[in-house]
Amino acid sequence: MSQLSELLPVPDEASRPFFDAALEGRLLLQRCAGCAQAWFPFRARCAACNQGSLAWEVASGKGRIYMHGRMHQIFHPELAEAVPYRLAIVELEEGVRFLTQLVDAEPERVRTGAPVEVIFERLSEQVAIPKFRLR
Amino acid sequence: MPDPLRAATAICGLGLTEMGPVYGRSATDLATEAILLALEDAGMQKRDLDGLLINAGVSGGLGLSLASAAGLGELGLLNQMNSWGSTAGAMLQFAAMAVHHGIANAVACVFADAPLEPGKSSGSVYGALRSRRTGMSTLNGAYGNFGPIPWYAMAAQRHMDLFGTTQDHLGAIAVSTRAWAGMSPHATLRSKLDLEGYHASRWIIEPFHVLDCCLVSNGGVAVIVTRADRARDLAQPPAYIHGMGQAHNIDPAGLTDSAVHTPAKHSGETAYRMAGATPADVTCAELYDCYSYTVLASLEDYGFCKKGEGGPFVADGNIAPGGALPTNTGGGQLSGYYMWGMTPISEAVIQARGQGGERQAPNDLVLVSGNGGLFSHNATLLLSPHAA
Ligand SMILES: [Zn+2]
Repeated sequence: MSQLSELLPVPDEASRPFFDAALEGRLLLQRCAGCAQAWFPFRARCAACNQGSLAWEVASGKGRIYMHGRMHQIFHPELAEAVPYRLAIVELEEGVRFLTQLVDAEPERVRTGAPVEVIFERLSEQVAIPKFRLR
Repeated sequence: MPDPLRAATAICGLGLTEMGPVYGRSATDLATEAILLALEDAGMQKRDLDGLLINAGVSGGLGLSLASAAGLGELGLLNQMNSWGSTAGAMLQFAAMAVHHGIANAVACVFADAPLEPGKSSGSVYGALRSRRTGMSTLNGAYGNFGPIPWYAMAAQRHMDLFGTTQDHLGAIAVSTRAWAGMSPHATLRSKLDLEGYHASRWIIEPFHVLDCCLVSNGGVAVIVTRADRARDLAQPPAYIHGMGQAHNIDPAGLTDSAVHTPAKHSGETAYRMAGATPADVTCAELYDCYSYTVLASLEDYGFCKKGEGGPFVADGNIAPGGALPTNTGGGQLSGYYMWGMTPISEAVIQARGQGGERQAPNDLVLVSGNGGLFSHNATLLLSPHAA
């Protein structure tokens, strides 16, 4: 469990399936039934074909680092113990990008293009979030 | 046949208020003063102004009511615009098209902001710009992702990983920009900076030190755009607009590599085409530097060096005083003042007029950029003292 309280994510109706799945260790994205484009973050209507219904899909959880950086600045007091931490944008095998935090990241192996996989971190009874580690 | 807009319009007035930790004044008040200063600079009266385009910053309060707050009369053109850091450049383009076609005769374009308050850190001003408190966006807080800094820092890291760009290369931009700032009376940070001092400055997010990041300023800047023939009769040497372009990278699925290949390329090509110019014709560049890395990526995308070679290009001193392409000659936003797209535009006007004093650069063709929205939006202008 983490020390986050003010920074604890708060699911809303639209994101509830994502957070519920995360509690069960699954990473969800959306896919358009009409044109098969994958989407993250979620949207009400496919922006590629502008039609087609969007359905939830369990992602592979595997991808590569698109870009990364190591945060030193304490932007919020609840992160005072967490710095320095590594932020990354990960490109999933499904072709969508996901901003996340890297865990257990050995500096010499963290590079653009490095393969990563999802893990889930339990933040509270109700909330778990996906993070990524090198694979 | 040359483009009918080439050199058809000019910037005839420039107004800069005091900038920096200027407390107790609203953005509307600063904007009003900037407009009045620009009119005075141009040798124009308030009644000569019949257009106003407004770019509000983050502090709020600045909007269409500025026209009445400033006591302007009936206008042929009025709007508030936003495409983040590219707004100012875009406003000048719409103003130029409007005066060229007679929709208005003289259009003031203004940016003003007053986000700084006593006792509030400049980092908190932009870091606190968090979105709503429920839903997917609340993941950002849990990940520790605040404001635009992480995205640009990660983009810089991607450039380093792909092309071997180094921390010294980013530092060369900070050092060169500070050297220019030392010669500008408008600049906020004017003390000497070397690479050692750059490396010693604290990390924000690797690979960005605090000196890779722009200032946060209170203040206002206005410029006035009119037809070229009218500008010649006014008080200042005209800064003719030879070329203009925009590009907006709309990428809902996140499939493009805009962190490295920015819309400056498309925007620049449009501007070069209108001006009948090439990168080799540009004698001086004022590039939007919310971060050191945006200068590096812009230099490549505008064609001053190849993609991936921006690091060695800046390390060789090309953009520094005495270099082949004097860049951000007023200290940019890293060391000068943070007035979004009006920072590069205001310095470009000073350069195009030949009023740069000690820091005057060759000004036959001055390239100005604005970018914003995580490299989603770009506006380019090419200014010149030459009427054709
Ligand atoms: Zn679709």
